[in-house]
Amino acid sequence: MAVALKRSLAVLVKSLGGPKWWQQASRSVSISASLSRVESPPARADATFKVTMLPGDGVGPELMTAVKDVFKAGDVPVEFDEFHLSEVQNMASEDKLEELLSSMKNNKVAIKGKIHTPMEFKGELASYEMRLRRKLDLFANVVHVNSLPGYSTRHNNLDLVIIREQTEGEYSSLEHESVPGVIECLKIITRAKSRRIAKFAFDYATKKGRNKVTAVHKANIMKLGDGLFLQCCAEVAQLYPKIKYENIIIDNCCMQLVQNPYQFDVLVMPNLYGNIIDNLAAGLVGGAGVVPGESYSAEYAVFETGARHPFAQAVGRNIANPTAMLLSAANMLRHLNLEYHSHMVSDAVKRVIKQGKVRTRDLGGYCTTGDFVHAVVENLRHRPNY
Amino acid sequence: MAGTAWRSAVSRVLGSFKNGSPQPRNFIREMQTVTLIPGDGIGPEISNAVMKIFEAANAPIEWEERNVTAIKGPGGKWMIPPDAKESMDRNKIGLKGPLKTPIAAGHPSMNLLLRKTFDLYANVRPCVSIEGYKTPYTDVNLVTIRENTEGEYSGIEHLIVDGVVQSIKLITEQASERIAEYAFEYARNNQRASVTAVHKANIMRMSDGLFLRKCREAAEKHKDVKFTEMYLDTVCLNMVQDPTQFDVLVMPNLYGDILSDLCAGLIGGLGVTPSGNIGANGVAIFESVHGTAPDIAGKDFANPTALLLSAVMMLRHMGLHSHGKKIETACFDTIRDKKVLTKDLGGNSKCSEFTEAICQKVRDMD
Repeated sequence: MAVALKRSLAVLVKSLGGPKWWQQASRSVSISASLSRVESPPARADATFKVTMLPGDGVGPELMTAVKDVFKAGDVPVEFDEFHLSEVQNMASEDKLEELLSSMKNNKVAIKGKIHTPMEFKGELASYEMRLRRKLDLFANVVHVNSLPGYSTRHNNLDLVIIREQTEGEYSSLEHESVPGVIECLKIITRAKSRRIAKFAFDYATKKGRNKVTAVHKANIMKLGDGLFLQCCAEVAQLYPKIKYENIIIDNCCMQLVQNPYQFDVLVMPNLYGNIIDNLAAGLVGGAGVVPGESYSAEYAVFETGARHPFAQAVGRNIANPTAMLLSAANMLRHLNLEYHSHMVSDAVKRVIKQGKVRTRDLGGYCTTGDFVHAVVENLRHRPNY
Repeated sequence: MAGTAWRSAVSRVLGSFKNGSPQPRNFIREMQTVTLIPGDGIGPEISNAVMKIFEAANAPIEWEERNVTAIKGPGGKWMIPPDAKESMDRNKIGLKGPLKTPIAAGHPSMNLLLRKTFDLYANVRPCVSIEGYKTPYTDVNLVTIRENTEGEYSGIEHLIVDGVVQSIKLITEQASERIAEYAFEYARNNQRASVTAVHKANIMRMSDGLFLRKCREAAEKHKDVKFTEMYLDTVCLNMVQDPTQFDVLVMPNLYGDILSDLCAGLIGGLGVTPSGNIGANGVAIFESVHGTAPDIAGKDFANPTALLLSAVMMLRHMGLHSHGKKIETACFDTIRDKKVLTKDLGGNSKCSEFTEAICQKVRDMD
């Protein structure tokens, strides 16, 4: 028995020592590589997508660097056209806005950080971010609230979509001081825009296979304004008999979200309530650092984080969480029909979070943004064979 | 019989000498009269429960029951019955159960009428986690103070052209100043460390900017209380992640409505949340904010906790801290024991049993 063992051991050692093992090993790797190469898109030079990039303020530039690093490591065929528009840093002007708009007209797709809105205003009540939204007519903001596997919060396995009308409502920037000490702020609701966002919500729900759309409003108090919004939603709901339609008052909605968020599926609402619910829902799954979002118009798509905060306290300290921006970048790749790269990036990010070893400050860890990006890049290389 | 009439007459005479804030209880047993509005649905049951518990605690409160329905006064304006108004104006303190607003009744909601009649400008909702009623959020201890008269709920709406509606959000210097002053006073009277102003002044630069400016001015006058300001979306984001970082929050009408309900959800819902409305001229009405629950009315299933905690808030407002503490402790102990709980708290007992358990605890404490 011992002799047989020694013989087999000798065979093993010989096979290990010989060139055959290396050949075998390298051959299997190259097979897998060639298999994957068949699926990936062709060589870079012909098929590079151009995307407008707007780093914004606060930690925006750091997050954009993270996206660029991951894209470079993953060999993603996307090139960025950078623009630096910032109200707080005095780098905003009409010309820059025009340049940005013409770049958008060419590229149609953008990725951006948050352009901070200072509280003091110099003449114009509308901030640059709002003007950009209006000029591009980005009427729908979609935020994907998904619990991250491996990171548990008080409510796990959440899967909500929050659709918010972004161009009118309370953010119309129409304010005036009628009498000294009395200020009026106008909230405008129109039938056309309410119908448009309702149709967008139902179309989105249909496309993604969702079952229920809930309209959030305060029509018991603002009978005409939110009443009109609700009426439009109800009208559009009748065109989609397969999707269940409900409505809920905003304060009850907030209460239900913290007690039982699983009753909601897709939520649609006007501007201000959208801001509140976006941030609330982001807090439910882990904060502003983990929720991706995008804004759509009829012609353009802009990808950003879900809860839009410049997070100026973290600038230069390398502690911001790039998860939200990376997941949003993955969504952007899917929008550009680069399915393979999209999966690659989002899987890598999710794997890093699930492993739990590398986590930024907001998720309870001690790592820096750089560490996290490095971990994501590492996970990119070990992608499974499809 | 004559004795009580004499006593109530004396208290009425004494009451006329009192100004805004009633005096704390001293060795003379001074009965204070409070207007009680039982309300609709489960209102009468829970009001009875509260009265029973107060009796067991020997609280020096005399109840004057009034009913509030909307009636059309001279000139066609909707108003509350004159005897209710007179009672409130005299007593200054009121406790109100849930009122129902029938849809398409033609008159505005009862709560709105009360608010307009007594100029109830501040809505105060303390949210404290209840030991024994488990929610995913523990250690919540904050107070939301909401401006209740103007803001987005001014009710001024116009149809400009067909398909375009305009709602006006009104912010005035006077109202903002009043609510800011009240917030700091409340913080000082209740030993609260900080006041946070919640706003959206980056978007609504003029209106919320004015509100914020007034809060800052009030902060200057009250330097012993820490003042911070935070955007509404940041507050929402942080509130659901870590509610312990907040103390007193002051904000305009709409944000207050949403945030106060959000905080109520954190501690377990409207069935256990107290609420108080402070008005001009020293008027204060404490109420339970849940609905009338017509499906369980009259069946002894109701949970009186919200109204009871509001009544405790009322005792504190009147300076009767010891009684307030006694009743509150009894209530929390009963809930913590989990032996006698109403259906919405997870138990099987009736309202009367729950009330009796609290009364027993209160008597045991003496």
